[in-house]
Amino acid sequence: MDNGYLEELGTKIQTGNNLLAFGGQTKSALLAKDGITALDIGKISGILEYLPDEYTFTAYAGTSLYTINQMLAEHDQFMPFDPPFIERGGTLGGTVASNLNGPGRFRYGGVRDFILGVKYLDYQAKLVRSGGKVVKNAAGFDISKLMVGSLGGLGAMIELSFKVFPKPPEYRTVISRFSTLEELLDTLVNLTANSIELFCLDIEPASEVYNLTIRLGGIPDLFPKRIERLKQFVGDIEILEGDHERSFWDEINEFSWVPEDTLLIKVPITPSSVETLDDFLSKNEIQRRYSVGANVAWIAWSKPVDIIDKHLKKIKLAGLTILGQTDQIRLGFREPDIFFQRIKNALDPIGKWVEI
Amino acid sequence: MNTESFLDELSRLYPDEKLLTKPAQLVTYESDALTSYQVRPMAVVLPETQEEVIQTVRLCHKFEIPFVARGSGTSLSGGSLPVTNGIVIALNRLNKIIEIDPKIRIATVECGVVNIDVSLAAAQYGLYYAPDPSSQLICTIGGNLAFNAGGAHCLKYGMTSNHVLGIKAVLPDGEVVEIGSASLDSISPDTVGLFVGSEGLFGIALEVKLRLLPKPEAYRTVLAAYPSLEAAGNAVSMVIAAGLLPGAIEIMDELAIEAAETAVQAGYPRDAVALLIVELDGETEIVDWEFASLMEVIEESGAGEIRVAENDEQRLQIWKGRKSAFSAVGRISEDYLVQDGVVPRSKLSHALGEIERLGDQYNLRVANVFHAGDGNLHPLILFDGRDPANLENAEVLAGEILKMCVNLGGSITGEHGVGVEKLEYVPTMFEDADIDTMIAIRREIDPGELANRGKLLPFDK
Repeated sequence: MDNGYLEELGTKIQTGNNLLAFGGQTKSALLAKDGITALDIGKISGILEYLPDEYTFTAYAGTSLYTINQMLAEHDQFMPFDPPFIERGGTLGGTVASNLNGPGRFRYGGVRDFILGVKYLDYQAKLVRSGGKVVKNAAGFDISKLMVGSLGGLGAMIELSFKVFPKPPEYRTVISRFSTLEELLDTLVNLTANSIELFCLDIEPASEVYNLTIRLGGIPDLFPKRIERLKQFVGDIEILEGDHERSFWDEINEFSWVPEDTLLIKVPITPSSVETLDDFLSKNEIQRRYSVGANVAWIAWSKPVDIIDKHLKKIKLAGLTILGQTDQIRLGFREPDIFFQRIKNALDPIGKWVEI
Repeated sequence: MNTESFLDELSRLYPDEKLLTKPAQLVTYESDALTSYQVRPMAVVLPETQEEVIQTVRLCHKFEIPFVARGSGTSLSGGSLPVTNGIVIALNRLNKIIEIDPKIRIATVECGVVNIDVSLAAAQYGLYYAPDPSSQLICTIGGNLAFNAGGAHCLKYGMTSNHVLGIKAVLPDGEVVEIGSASLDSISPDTVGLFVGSEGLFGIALEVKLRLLPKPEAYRTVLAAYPSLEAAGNAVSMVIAAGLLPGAIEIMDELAIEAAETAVQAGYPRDAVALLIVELDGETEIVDWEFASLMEVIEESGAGEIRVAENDEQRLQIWKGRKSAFSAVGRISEDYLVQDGVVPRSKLSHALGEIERLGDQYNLRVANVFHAGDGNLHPLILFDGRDPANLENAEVLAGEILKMCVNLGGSITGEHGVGVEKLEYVPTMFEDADIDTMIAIRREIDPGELANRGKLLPFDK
């Protein structure tokens, strides 16, 4: 990294206000429009350390996910949280700041479960470190986890350390169709209490049916037996494999199913709350997916934003707009977060960073 | 601070049997599992409800009385060491499992629930709680949360922080907050991740939402004996290089084997210099395939005797020795310090060689039991507690080991936390700006530094 650029960022932090760090600018809704001091972290990129035997790497925050994926693939490893927007140019820092996980989050966990450490510039442009580079560490407050979902409101991430895992040699995807969401959810609950190892477990509402898409990873020889076992839960199935299988999930992870003129909204849910949300979305004929075993809803919202905002408030769910042009980033139900406000006061006592 | 008035108000909150102030009653609470440190608290309270805890914290805030939350007192870093003129809030009676929801795979429990009891309650749904510290038969979820407890299965499953979704807590000023949610995903900064591992400095977690996992349907547990620690360490590298992700990879050295055998007769090979335990878990078909790969690796790794657990009983027997190793060392030395540093896995052999050299240099015996899969060392330094110079020597040696871990790119603690024991080594791992930031957070949450004062961060009020 060019130290001169770090100094330049430091000067901007000291002199500017309403600071916002950004990387690949792939999450259009999260890029504040006016009156901000932009800190381009995308210029700080590169792998600092990759230790395949340790299952760890450290990279600058502006490093593209594509670069990291290529590097890991050479050693048959991967980021199990399946970060989205790889093809669009997403960066590691942007993934952490926006806490975006792909369908693969289901198997081993999300960004928060794989981040090991962070170095960031604070409100005084001081470089602060939290966490470490080893896979196990309990020393100090875990500020690196706090950065997950911080939307650039707590500091400018410069360097990040992550844990990675060995990548399964192959995948198969099994698609099963259900006439109602209720019926699908019964199956999902049975499946998730079973020890069949599922990498992805997504729900895709389609015309007249709900598709349950299940991704298995592992040794090719074992798939036939494992799929037979899955059939006991899900009945008739369609099986995807090879390039077709890969592109199926790549498209999901790039959100290419989201029309350009809509907003992409992320709503954390549970298998208990998904039906209430789906009633509303289906009546409004809205495209949507439920991912990570019905723990997150991805909504391609095409109507006035206040309609979904109001409804989310009513059913006590909260949403975050990820893609599209809107002034309403946060939607739905929010209670005052006293604990976070105190943390924010400590890390940003003079209000340098954007409000999140 | 008006102690008399404080105790007077406290006595209105608690009946005599739940408010301990007599020296004989306080002895039990003077130390935790780090027995070389002892401080007598002013009083101990035994709340049975969350409301009692909240009222107690509010009283402490009103009178500026420091408080220490304590579960089963199993902290090996002095994490629940009392504070002079402070009180201990003993939380074992807050032990309700409020709900197990199999649909969303979440257990909502009070902080005093014992770790293993979560899995026992979830078993009827085929679920379990993954973090399994060695003390899981007695340690509590509140303590696990405060110190981000680990266990033998962290490489694959992560630590406590990876399994906590939500927390209801009372902050040090008596404010009650709820953070996190029942969903696995979130759109807010991960304050739950920050709270876990904060060593009680942010107050007391009253109620916790824990993520449950489906119980693995198959286990394959292998025990292999090696002629040296280095050979066992190399076997670990070979297992990882084979692309396997075992649930657990553990190593014990000669002295630890001797201790375990003396204490629990686990049936370990007595002539082994090092023992490697590798456990695969998960879906039967996958575990069977991985087991075949694992055995190829183990057979090529220069192991002497190799044992494979053929049933649950044999598996538990293998684990019995490992999980009792800390207490077992008490059979060969009444006094010992347990260290908890982490090194990159590839530097394990080097680190163990250094520990042996340092042990010789300080003329102290060191038993080694460690989570080899994640480089988490647990050197047990044996000393004679009757001799203050011997204790001092052991502490210096422990410090040298921690510094070595940091120099090798690791950490001073993998799962026990800093507590009081590693306080002076925090600056070896963090720069001033890092520590200042942590202090700023602490002060914003707890300006009076009442909650678990003297742990994790220097107290200089």
